[in-house]
This record gives sequence, structure tokens and C-alpha cells, in this order.
Amino acid sequence: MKMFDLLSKYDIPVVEFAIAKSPEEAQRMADSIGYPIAMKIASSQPIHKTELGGVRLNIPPDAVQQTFTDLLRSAVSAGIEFEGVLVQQMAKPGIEMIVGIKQDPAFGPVILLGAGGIYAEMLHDVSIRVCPIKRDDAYEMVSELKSAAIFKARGKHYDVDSLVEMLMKVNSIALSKELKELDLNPVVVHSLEQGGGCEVVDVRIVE
Amino acid sequence: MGYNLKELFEPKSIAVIGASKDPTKIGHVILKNLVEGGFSGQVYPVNPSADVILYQHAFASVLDIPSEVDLAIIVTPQPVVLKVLEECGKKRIKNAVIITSGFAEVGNTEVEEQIKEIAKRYGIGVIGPNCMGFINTYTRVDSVFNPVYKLGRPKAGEIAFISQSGAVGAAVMDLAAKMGVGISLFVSYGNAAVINETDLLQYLSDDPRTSVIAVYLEGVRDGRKFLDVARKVTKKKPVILIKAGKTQAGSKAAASHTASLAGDYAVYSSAFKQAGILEVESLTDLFDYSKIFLQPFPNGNRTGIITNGGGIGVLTSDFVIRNGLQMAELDIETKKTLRDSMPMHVNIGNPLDLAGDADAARFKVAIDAMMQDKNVDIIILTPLMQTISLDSSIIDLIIRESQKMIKPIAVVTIGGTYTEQNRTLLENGGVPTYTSPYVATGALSKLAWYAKRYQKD
Repeated sequence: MKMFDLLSKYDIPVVEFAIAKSPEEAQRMADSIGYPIAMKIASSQPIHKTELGGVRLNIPPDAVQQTFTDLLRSAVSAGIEFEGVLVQQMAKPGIEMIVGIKQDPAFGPVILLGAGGIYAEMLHDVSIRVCPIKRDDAYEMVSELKSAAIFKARGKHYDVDSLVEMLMKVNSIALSKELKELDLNPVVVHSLEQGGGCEVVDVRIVE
Repeated sequence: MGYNLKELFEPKSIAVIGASKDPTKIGHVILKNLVEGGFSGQVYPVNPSADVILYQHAFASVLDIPSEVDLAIIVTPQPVVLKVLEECGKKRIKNAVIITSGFAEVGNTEVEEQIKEIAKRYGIGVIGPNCMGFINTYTRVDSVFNPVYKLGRPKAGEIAFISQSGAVGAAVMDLAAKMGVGISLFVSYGNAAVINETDLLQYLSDDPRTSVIAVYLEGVRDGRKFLDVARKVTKKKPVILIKAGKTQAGSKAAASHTASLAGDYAVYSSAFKQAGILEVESLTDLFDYSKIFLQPFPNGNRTGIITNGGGIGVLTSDFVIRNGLQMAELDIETKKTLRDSMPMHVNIGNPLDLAGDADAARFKVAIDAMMQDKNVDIIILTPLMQTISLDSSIIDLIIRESQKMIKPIAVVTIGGTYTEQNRTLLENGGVPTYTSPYVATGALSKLAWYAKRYQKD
């Protein structure tokens, strides 16, 4: 799908996934990725998947085909053009962030970092910059979040460097002006104790 | 841009186009303010149906004026604005202020485009339309159409104020006059058809009379240009800004979380931060924060508090911490000096409570000690004027200490009429005064931030 192609073009790490067009294909893909698995409605349209019941987590092998059918049904009843089901590895635990861009009417491309996940809008803990940003700006964005302290909490050190790396890549997407809006949400940041790195779990684009 | 804003703001001759005999008309008030307000250059009333206005010979058109004109102030009815602007072009007037409204702000963009076209063709620098124009407190050019008895004019000073809104701008000038804040230049730029906020920022950054730039902004058209220019300007001079229209946008449901979280105002606020602009929340804060920047820049944020009332000292120290400043740890030598010269019932520490029987002499010892203490970067004085022993001699003392310009000094006074009178005397003496420790420490905190960011001395 286009949005995942875009991420790979900019070398942005994504949790391993595949797009299934049928229950049988979903089963094969899930078997090869490994369990437990996450399944979601795949759509190029900007939709709030969770609200539509379009996200199922921790699915065991014997429930894959039934989940495919359920997701197809929710997509149809919500009137979404069905493009398949995203079969994805469950993300390793970490801190959920949102990284996004938008084209602002007055300032042009803008980049955002915030506390992410399904509560992103309610938490409203964000840092915004007009692009382009430099590496120092990206670090400053991380440190000015209200929740910045959780990157070094409970004896763990989360991989801020890899998050900054991702911000710099997203900065390049913003400047290319290919998109009107982009949400990478959640981006899961892993602790250095667990090998570090950060990965995109889900993407939404507005062209 | 190519316009010469220095000539615009310092004209030697002015034509008031649309000048009127009728004292209730804007065209009368502006002419009166120029003629009676101390402007020393030539003033030419222009009106097709009057011979003499306010003892000045009136002309039917600018084209009839025999000598050169530097600035046209246009207050005619809307339908003739294009015609008179064209005449200004023919007369080779290089600058104009169009007070008249009824253009892009009411959807009449076509006529506004024509203003731009004429301005471009003749190379006229235009402020407005739909604005109050400007007040230059040094040359006494004043195009604000509010009568002086209703709207006070501020004294000359070092703070420039540019305002997108004419009404807010004028009211704030009135407030500045009352607060005793000195202004270098006030510009209400209205629709910004030709000269916009970015041009004005650029000009003020080179204006030798301006040390601090205060801005009231609703929105900018070219955000990027504004950001680029503001970034450079803030390295030279502090820019203090209030943004109006924070809540109207973002009301429509956004497709992405990012668009919803990064609403129009959130982006503005981030851009201000990136440019080093200091954003404030209220119109009074605009000047309360601006005036602190006329103080010497501190080397750090360690704050010493001197008071004659324990409670107000403690309260102020709470706000010092809350606003991100530090309480200074007095040097051992300072403590010794203070101990030797203070009565036993004075506790030597920070806040330094000189006790209820403190007089001006005791304050002087304390201020001198903190001025010399290398551990103190900032001094806050909170004299309670209500005590028996404190009289107005403290005012002269504080003004003298402040004028040494060694460390920033802010004064917090809390009280009624007597206190207010004394506060006004301090303010007129160039001492930044506050009626709230919260605002004083907030302003000082920004000063320390700016001084650190730009490492000025």
C-alpha cells in the first residue's frame, strides 16, 4: 500500500506486516510472521480504525480466518472501500508516541511529536516545529514534552536517538510536500535494555 | 520591498487628504493633532470644498500643493481613495497612510488589489488601509484619530508597538500613557496591503530609537518570511508578542490526529518559540514584560529579594521558583556586611526581610550589598509603603540605584492610593514596577532566558 511504500522509501522502520486479500492468505501470512498477531482493516483512506472496530490484537492461530471475516464485515458496514486486511506482528512493548506532519496555511510544512496511541488527542502532550528542523531541534522537541521524563524511568532508558532519527526522516517527507497530513501513530520506542530502536505500528495519510 | 520606512515615519511635510472643518470628523481630529500636537514640519489640509481649516490654507488636491510632500494621510470616503492615491503618485509622494476602511476586511479585495497596483506603479509605501496609522513620539507625527483628551499619548521611550488591530492598538497606547511606559513608535498597520508586520519588524530592528518591539498580531499571510525575519530580529532586539484569535480555528473536524493537535494557533505559538519571540497572554503583560528588557541583562537567574514585610518576601520567592528563576545563596561576605550593619532583629538571608521598622537607609545598605554580591544576578525589591518608617525618600534611592544599570532591578508594590502614587514616581523614574510578584518574576524570567539565549551584556 502507498503509505507503507512511502515509509520504506524514506527508510522508516515499520513493525513487520503483510496485506491479505483472503482469509486463507491471512492465515499463511500470520503463520510466517509468528504469533500472536495483530489484524487491522487496511485502507488508504484516513479513517479512525479503532472507533470502527477495525483493530484486533493478540490473535491466536485458530482465530485468524474468523477475524478476517469480521474485519471485512465492519469495513463494509462502515462504508469503507475494502482493500484487504493488514496482518502485523504484535509490537514489542515500549513507549507509544505520535509523529506527524501537516501543511499549515500560514507556515507550510510543520512536524509534530507527541504522546501517542489511541489517547493521543486526549493527552494533548505535543511539541510542534515549523520545518525544516535540525537534529538539535528534534532533541528539544523530545525534551519539551510534559511526559519527557518517562524516557528515563523505572531503570530503563528508551532510545531517544532512534526517535530523533525518525523525526529527521519525517522532516524530509514534510519538506517534499508529497502529503497534506501524515500520522505515524503509534510509533513504539523501545528501551536500550531491550535492544533499542523505534518502529511505526500504524500510518494514516491525507493527500 | 524597496520602500523607505525611515522617511515614512519621519516625514517633514504631511498632506491630510480628507481634512475637515467638522470637529466630529476623523479628518478634523487628525489635522488638529498634527497642528496642535507639536509636529514641527509642514501640514497641508486637502479638501476640495474648504479654503481654510484650523487656520491652515487648504488645497483642493495634493497636486495643487506648491512644495514637496513626504507623507499623505488619507481619510477620504472609500470611493475616492483610489483617485487620491493616484494623485499622490503623480505628486511623487513616496509614502501614504490610508486610514479609510471598507476594503479587504469587508471582502472588498478587488479595490484593495488596485491600491497595491497603484502603490507598486508609483513606488508608494502604504500603511493600511483600515488602520490608525502611526504615532512617532519623537517627531510628534500622529495620525491616530482619537482626540487627545480621550486617548492619552505615551511619552517618548524605547519600546515600539505594532498592532494589526487599530482599536486594540489605540487602547493600548492609552494604557501605556497611563502606565508611564515610553514608546518610540506606534504603528497600526490594518490590512497590510503593501507594508506588513514583517517589513515593520525589519525596520524596527534597525531603528536606533527602539530597544524592544511589542506586537499585537491576529495572523500573518507569509508565515515563513515572518519566521525568517523574526529569527534575525530577535537576535538584535527582544520581540514580545500577543496573539489574538487563538480559538476560532481547528473547530472543523480534522482527518488526522496531527491536524487536530497542531491547530492553527499551536503552530503559531511554536513558530514564535522557534523565532525567539516571547509570547504573552494579556495586553498588560505586553508592556509589563517589554519594560523589563530596558534593564541591564543579567548573567544568570539567581534572584535576591529585599523587603520590609516577611510575608510578601516569602510569597515573591514562591513565584521566583515557579517562574523558573532561582533564589540566590548570598555570599558569606555579603552576609557578614549585612550582619554588621543591621539590627539584631533583622534575619540575614534571602529573602532579606529588613523588618517593619526599616527605613530608606537600611534599604540602601541591603541594595548595595546585593549589587556587589557575585551570587546575585537579579534584584527584586518589595517595599511595603504603609509602614511608619518608610517614606518617599526610598523612591529617590531606588531610582538612583536603578540608574547605575549594574543588575536588573524590579519593584513590586502592593497597596492603595499612597502606594500607587509612589509606584508611579518610580515608574516615571525608569524603574520597572509591578503590582503582582507573579508578573514581576514572569517578566524577569523571560529577561534571564533572553540574556542567556543571546548572551548579551
